[in-house]
Amino acid sequence: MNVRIRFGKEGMMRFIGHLDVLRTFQKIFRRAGVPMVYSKGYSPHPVMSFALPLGLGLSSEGEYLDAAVEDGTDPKAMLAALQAATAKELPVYALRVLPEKAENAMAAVGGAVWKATLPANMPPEGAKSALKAILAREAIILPKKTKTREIELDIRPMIHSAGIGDGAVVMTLAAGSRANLSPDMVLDLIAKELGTEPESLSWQIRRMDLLDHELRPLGACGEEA
Amino acid sequence: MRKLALTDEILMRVEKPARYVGGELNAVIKDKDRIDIRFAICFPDVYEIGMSYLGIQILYDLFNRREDTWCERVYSPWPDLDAIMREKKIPLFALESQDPLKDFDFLGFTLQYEMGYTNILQVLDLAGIPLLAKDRAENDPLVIGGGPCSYNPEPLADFFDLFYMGEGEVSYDALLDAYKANKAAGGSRMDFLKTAARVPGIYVPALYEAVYNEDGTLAATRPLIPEAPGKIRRVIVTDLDDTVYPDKLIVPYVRSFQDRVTLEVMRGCIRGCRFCQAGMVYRPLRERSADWLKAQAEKMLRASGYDEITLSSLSTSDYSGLPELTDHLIDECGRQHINISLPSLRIDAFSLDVMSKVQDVRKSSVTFAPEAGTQRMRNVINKGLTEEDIFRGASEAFHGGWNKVKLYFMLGLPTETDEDAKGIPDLCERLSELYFAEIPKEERNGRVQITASSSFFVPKPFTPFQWASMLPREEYLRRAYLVKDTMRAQKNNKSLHYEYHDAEVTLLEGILARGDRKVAKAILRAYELGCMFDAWSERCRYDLWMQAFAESGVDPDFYTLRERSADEVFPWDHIDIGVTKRFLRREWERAMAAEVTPNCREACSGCGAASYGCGICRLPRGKAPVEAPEKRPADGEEAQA
Repeated sequence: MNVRIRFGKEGMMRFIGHLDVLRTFQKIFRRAGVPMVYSKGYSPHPVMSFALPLGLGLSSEGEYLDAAVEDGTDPKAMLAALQAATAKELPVYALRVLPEKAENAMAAVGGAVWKATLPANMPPEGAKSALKAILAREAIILPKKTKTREIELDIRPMIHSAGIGDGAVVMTLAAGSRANLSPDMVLDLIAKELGTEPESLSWQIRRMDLLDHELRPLGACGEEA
Repeated sequence: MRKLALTDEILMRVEKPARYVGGELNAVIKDKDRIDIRFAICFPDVYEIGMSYLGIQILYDLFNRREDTWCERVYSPWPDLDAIMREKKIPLFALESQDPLKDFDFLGFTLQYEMGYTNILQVLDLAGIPLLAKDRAENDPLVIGGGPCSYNPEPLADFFDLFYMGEGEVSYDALLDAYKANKAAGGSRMDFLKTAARVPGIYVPALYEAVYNEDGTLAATRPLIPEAPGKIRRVIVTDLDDTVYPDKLIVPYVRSFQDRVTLEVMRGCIRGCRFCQAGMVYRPLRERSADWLKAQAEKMLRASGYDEITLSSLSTSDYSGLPELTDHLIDECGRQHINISLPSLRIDAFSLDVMSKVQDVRKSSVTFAPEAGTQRMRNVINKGLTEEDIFRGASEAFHGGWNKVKLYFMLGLPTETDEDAKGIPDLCERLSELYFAEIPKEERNGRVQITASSSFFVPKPFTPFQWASMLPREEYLRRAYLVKDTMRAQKNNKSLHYEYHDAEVTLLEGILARGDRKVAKAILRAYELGCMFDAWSERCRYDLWMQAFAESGVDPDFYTLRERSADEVFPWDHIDIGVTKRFLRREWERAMAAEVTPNCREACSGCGAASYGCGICRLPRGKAPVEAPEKRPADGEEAQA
């Protein structure tokens, strides 16, 4: 049986890479006494996968992990056990038992919601008009390096929505294996629009949620614990 | 949320920022306003190495069980962060609170290897604590050292306020209580040190002076005040089933070198190898009961979530409860997908059977530690492993499907000849021939691989070889080349591999291991010249060390190229580890006569550790000869006790 948990990365956890977070979750499941399903083969490992790795240094309250567990009959108790077993800066928020045919988290990801706190030296009004001008463009062609060559890419369709409120840019961007837009790209555009060097600005970036291809939260799939 | 000591910008610039942010599972956070004593404990090397060491976890647990004490950890910042901290003047901090070390009451170092000494100075320096104990102010942390290298504390005496001789479980409560009482009474730093000097196992170097003879050898280490005992006796736990042990290991997020539960099955060793310091300074052998270990294993696995467990001791094959314990672990762990990683067991039918159950025979190798290439040499070092043992073990391993054999040797042992050195390739060649002779072609699983590696022997304090001379650098290399060339000349040389350790690091280790107080100047100078992480051989700057010796007037050869006379006073003679100097000298003489001494299970050799009245010393056994070989009545009788 597969479960999906939503978790966050706060404080020092922002500096733990996703492979280490994966290994940590294996330990958290053991500590919680939740038996995992193991892969077959000579060196079996727990079946567990992340929706989408998060860059080092970023915080989040919308990370997802799918895990195969032996017994999913009491998801409430499982969530409570995982919450008791995890570290404060790696909070586990929710757990759902996935329907049998559900797409795994990694394949399901189509978008991400980001929140970037405005740098102290950036007036919100200026940022607002810069963002408005960017969104008004029909196409935003940027150079993108692939493994072999540099191509031109229109990133405008990858910006599903973006707005400024509460001293932060909140945006929904394409994410996942089909199309993926890093929030930095949009933030750099704002900086350029304002005539500022992107490197001189320090944004605090937080991933708020991950969405599926229909832009519904990944955590909406399955039954709430 | 804890505030981190380093900014995001710095953390994003350094390799593995996880080393510096703390917050691991089971790390202890306390309210600093509600505790009396802040203790920072340091393994002076990089985080992943330090976190692999069980001793810190034991002390961390021990200290944090006290409500009035908060123990935190600190490790050496890697050179990338070291440079940033110096440039930006960021004081070194403890991982849990991220507070500067200077705010702490104690800063404890575990002294595991000599080549970590400059890292101690790095940690003190980055913390803003004066490097020399005599320069420290009332409010500076008290710097305390413990662990195997503290048994010769003298080269570090100038840098430490206190040393702890022995096992942490015994005297730390008394020491911390005395500290608290002194603080409450408004006592000074020196008041506390004088009280501490009377706590069993505590050595306060400032209360002693070293007096030298004209030739530079030591005349005596003398107490300066009556409160300081003339001898500091190591303290040990007598019943290992009656100790605290960390149920909740701190679990690092980044992979450490020992990323698993470590179960300490016993302390001490029965073997009495004459080169081995651990084998002498941890005597007597004290075992934990299998029942205790089974219960502890379950608690630790559950609280950590680790998927691997390993057994720890100096010689796990000698643990008498091993079959019972491994049976239990294989049974329990197999059910829960937990791996068992076994330390190098002595290769025999039992260990091969256990190994075949817990690892993939095709991928793994069997390991022997003959330490020397000829039986004569093995007798000199009292390594109770005979050629027959090796060949029987290898034969069983080959028939069990193994075809990779690793062998560990030492070069530069006392009395070693070229014949002994050439014994290494000879032994390897004959093992490969054994494989071809015993395993029919159709059953062979690839080529047999025999890998020999050698380190150069370093005489250590409190061993029978503490009197021995080392060799010049060129001579170490000549012997390594001799082994290498002889290895190449063997018939099956394609199956044989040989690697050897660095000779320069060996010599430095030799100076620091048997150094006296004068050596401190050179350590300080080496640090000032930029030496750090010397244990990482690619980072060790022998040239800078030699410059440091020259500039501080310390002659390396005095410490390395000199056989000590029988009556020489050693810098560590005022430390009493239980094993007596008389016994060690007798063992030196037996070594020179290539006489084997029985192990502690076969017979008691009267080493002196029985004065602790515990462990194997309390079991009835035969009595071994206590006479030096030249005084023996007849040859050959005594080894059969």
